[in-house]
Amino acid sequence: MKSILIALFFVTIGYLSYKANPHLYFFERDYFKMLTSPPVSAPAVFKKLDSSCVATAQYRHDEKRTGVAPTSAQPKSGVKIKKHILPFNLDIHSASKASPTVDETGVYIGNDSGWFWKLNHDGEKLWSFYIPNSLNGIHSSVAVDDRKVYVPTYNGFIYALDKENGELVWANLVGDYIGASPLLAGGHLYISAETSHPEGLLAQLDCNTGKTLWVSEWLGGHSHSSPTYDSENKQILLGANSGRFFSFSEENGKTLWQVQLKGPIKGTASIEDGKIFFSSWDKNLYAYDLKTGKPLWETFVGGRLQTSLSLVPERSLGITNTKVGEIIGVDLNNGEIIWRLVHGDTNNMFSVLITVDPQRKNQYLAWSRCNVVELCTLDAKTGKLIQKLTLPGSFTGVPFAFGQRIYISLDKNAGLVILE
Amino acid sequence: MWSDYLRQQQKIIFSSLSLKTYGFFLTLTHLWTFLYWRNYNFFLNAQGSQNSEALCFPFFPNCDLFRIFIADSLWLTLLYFYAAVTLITGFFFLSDGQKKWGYYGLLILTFYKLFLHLSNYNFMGNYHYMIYILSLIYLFSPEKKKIIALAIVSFYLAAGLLKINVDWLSGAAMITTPWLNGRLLIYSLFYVVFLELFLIFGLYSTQKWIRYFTILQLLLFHAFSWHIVGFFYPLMMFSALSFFILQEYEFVKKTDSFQSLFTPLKPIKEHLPLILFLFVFWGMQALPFALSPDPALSGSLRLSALNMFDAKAECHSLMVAHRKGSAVHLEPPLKNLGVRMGCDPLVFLNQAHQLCRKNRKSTEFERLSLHLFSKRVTQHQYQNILALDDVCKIKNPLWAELSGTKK
Repeated sequence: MKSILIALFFVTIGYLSYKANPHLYFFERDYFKMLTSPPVSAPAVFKKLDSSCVATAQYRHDEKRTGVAPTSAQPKSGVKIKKHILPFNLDIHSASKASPTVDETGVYIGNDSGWFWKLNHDGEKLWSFYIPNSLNGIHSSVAVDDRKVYVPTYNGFIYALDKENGELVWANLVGDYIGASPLLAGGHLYISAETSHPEGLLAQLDCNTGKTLWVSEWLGGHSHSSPTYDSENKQILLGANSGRFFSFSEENGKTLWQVQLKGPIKGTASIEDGKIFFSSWDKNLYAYDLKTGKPLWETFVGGRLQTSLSLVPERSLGITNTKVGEIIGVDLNNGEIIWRLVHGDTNNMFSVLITVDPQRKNQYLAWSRCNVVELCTLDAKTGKLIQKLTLPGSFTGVPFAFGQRIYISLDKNAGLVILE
Repeated sequence: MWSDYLRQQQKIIFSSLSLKTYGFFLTLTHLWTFLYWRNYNFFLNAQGSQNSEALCFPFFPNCDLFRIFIADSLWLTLLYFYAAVTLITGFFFLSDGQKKWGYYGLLILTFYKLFLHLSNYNFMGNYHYMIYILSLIYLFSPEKKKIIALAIVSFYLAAGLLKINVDWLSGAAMITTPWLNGRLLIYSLFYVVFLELFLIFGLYSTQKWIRYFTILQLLLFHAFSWHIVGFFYPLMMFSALSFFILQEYEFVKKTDSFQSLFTPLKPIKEHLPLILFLFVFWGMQALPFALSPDPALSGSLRLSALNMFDAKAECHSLMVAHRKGSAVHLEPPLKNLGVRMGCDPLVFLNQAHQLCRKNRKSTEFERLSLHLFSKRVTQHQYQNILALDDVCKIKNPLWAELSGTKK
């Protein structure tokens, strides 16, 4: 009996020693490196507040990240500044990295000093939430459903707040930093997070409890881009700074397919007609088959691209800014550049907003920064410039359309402007 | 009655050369403690009024309020007084004429250290815990030799049991880079477990060479650990282990017999103190396992037990001040507290309590919620260690951890 017990002891210790991989662990101050896949975080729950988990507004307007505002949003070309709210981004970056998110209930916007506000549609403050320990504040554009707003911040947490009064519903530390915007799709919340060494991950959360349902494999680099949802093939799509583009199973987070590019993928991918489109720092625009991950076309554009392609409905046309100082229209069937509007703003890394043109039937408008402080309105089909509006400051985020208005967060202390 | 009892203890101690000398070595632990606390101004940095943080043992909440009333110069004086009493006591133990004052000196030192120690949770540590137990046995217990020997063996056994996990065996629990690495380190860590769980019984061997070999192994283990854990821990353990070396000296001189260390427990009636020690010590080691989901991640629930370098934790907290019309996610003010305390729930609770105190009078302030998530560095899943909606309502951190853990 004694011998059996001693033998059992040695077997146990031997097994544990075998499991201990000396190539992974110790000495590393960065403990994440010890884990072959990302850790699974747990939420802190503050109150129960169930919601539909269906987005009423989110980054790039929809889960396919088309950049197209719903048809109810019909700002006219020729808009003027209706209201200018001061001050705004004040701290570290002083940049309006977070874009406003607007639905029927109000305007939701965070800034780079860690403040998050709900404003009414005229820009008056309703409530606030403050995260003083968030390095670089809030870079994400938030997602909103019928009762909650989901706010990722640069301290690695994502917070769910009660839309009504700003009370904290839950919070979950998903990574070390979050700069990307969340995705509300298929009844779940998705967030891509950065980790310090850097590796990056994508997590699926229960939007009502904040519980982490799965985490992806390590992305091999920061994930500056936001996830995109393909409801047909039940997959979540995401690019990373490692140059890898991933398709993850909606069900369990397993990688379905992935491609490796030569440059980081920082822009958010957009989906149309079984194809996925994204850009890379390798200066190309890409189209891949959504189901198989097979390449369809690539187009050299020039400049480190980190914008998303905005997809004009029923036109097989994509529009994006480039870093060589132009806005281009691209044929989504073959990647051919159909039109160019040269504006000379070579520091332009901002995606384009597409809205219905209320003044012309079946036509669309494209809204984009076209110089440091200028907002341009274009005919989406031809790229013809319709209006150039000078704003009180430069802007880094994306304009958001709601009703007849456009909301834009400006850099530094230039504030938030409401255009109508 | 008490004085009679103490005189009786002195008689037992001073009738044995090894016990008398062991008193000197226990006194030396106070010198090591003085040097450790004085080193890098650790003591004053923790106690001084300028830096005094709300780090308190659960049975002495708000200790920082007490500390700030004592001037820095007085704290330093109290520390030097501790050193002076240590030196005088050591001298008494070595001098035949004044040896009874050595006994009283050690008694005073033990309780004086306890007073300094309990005034600040920053001073927590395994090394103190073991020496307190040995000192109390030495000062007050009958069957001193048997129980001291059993206590030291029990320390190693308990430590060995805590180390049967991937964290220790992979080297993930190491706090610095050791000289050994790769597979060699893993084999060494495995050997430590083997030493603490099996070889340790060699101290009870009737074979002299096995006892010598075991003592040597233990001394080498602590000597090796010096470059990882610093000077203090090995010196404390050398002092504790000196007991067996002193015994060997007595065996050689034939002034003592091996039976003084080890006798069969039967008949039980004759060895009640020994049985009581076993019951109390192992009960204290079992307590954290009974109360906490993972003792390596707990704080006050682990106070009763050894706190070895068996696993390293990583954690994050969520402390939110709820105010009228707004909420603020606060960062706990203290960071980089070291391996044992960095994720200790007690530390977070203490800081939360300090914030409650500061905000008590504010009309805007509604409540302070605190959540703590921890995991061993080798684990994937974080555990919710604390989930307290209003930490200000909880009077004592000990109960807070219990109620928070259950959630």
